[in-house]
Amino acid sequence: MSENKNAEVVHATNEYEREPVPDHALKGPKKFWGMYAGEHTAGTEFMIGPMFLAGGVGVFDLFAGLLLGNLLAVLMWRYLCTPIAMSSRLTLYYQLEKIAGRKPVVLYNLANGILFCFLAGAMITVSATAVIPALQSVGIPLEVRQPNLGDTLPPGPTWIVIVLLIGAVIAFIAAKGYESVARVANIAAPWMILIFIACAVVTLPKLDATSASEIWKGGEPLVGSIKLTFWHVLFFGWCCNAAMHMGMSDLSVLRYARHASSGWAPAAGMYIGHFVAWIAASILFAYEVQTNPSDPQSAPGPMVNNAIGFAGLICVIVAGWTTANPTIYRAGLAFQGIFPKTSRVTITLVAGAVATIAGVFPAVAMKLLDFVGIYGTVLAPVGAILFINHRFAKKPDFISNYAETTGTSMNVAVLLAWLIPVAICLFDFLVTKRVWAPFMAVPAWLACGGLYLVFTKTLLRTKSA
Amino acid sequence: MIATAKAVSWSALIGLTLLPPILFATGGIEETTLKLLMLIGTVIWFVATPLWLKRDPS
Repeated sequence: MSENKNAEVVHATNEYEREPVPDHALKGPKKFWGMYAGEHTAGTEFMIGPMFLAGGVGVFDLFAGLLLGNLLAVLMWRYLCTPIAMSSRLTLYYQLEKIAGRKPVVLYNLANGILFCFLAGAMITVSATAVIPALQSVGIPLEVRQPNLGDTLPPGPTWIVIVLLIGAVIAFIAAKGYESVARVANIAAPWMILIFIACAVVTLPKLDATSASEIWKGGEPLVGSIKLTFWHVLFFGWCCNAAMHMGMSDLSVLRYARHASSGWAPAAGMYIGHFVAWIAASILFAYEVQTNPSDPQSAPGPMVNNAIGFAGLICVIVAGWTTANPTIYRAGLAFQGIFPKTSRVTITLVAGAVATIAGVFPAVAMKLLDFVGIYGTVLAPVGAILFINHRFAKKPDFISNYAETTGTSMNVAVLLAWLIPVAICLFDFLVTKRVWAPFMAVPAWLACGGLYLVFTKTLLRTKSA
Repeated sequence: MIATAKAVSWSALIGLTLLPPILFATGGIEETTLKLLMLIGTVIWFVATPLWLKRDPS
């Protein structure tokens, strides 16, 4: 779970917003491998690993689920996202505008911006769990209870003040642009990966376990968690970045690919960040469960501090900060798409304020698996519209880039095909609660694509009409 | 200058970030030493790496 942190590619994604990327700006595969390797090792990985252990996942279910789930995610990037990215060489926003018209894009921007704010809020929460022990270890006497799995409300007034201060700093820096933060992220990336590995290497000998099956034993989940199986792990690995691969958000990046082989580059991020880092974080939490079985604490800061000390705290803070910052910036950009006359600084500060308030409440960070599932379920289906538009472009009777071709600002077929499955999924998530959120993204994507095909034939003009 | 900074960075990453956890896990160093070495490695990495990363043509 992450956001783009690489300075060069972030710069690049801000260019050619309403035109295809020209040949001279295309990049070779090496750039993409480097970018993706760093991009998916974020502060939130420290939250996700423990959640698998808390869900009582077994060792086979964890390893097989992650290996296959990440493979499916990589295949989505390679065979869904990359061909469309290289065919049109346009951003998701501009491509969607050509198909759907201006008005549905405004709605997409709103959903995107709000979800980005909550995601950034989770990253601020993670950073705060490390800032507290960091301040304590330099002699500042703070009495703060850290949030734990299942917590939704702020654990106390001191926590609120600390999160507000961290959020204010991050929002202010985001408002000034994120070149310097992206540079810090670039510098930190190789070191951060080793810090994750170090946490696992240091913690393993402390565990009363002689094999992996004694760490991930399976069995009953901890209080506040649901039981996780192979299928839960597989779908989470597959869909935690659904908005980026199936949802085509990474068209912004992969449209710069000179070769289709660049579409394999997300494998670096998946198998370093979403395999090694999650397992390392899970091992950290296993030690916490062993030492404090009645009330294990999942806050990343204290766990990492116990394992490797101040270097680990710096890692959690840097990982949270360097991902929260561009996320707030991108939320600001999404909102600016709706309010184009408002300055970028103002709108980024507003997005930062929303993210900070979200970060005060540990609900998003402590329910990250659910939030990430909803994030993908809401945004990914839009990618199915682009897929259908690409796949059926040369079919008789199908009007490709419908809004641009017909001059409409509202393609009703897009709106209905997107909102109907999303509304059904949100209703289940909020009211009936029968399906785990990460299971919803793929059915929503398929339903959206199917509905769009039906609606283009029933609601829209065709070439022969 | 760039070559020196690069050598310092990678030495710190390998010698003071990768190696100490392995030494700790095999009983070679104490926890306090581990934490100190990793902090020193972190500081060196963040001081030395900006000197060459931006200028590296690769």
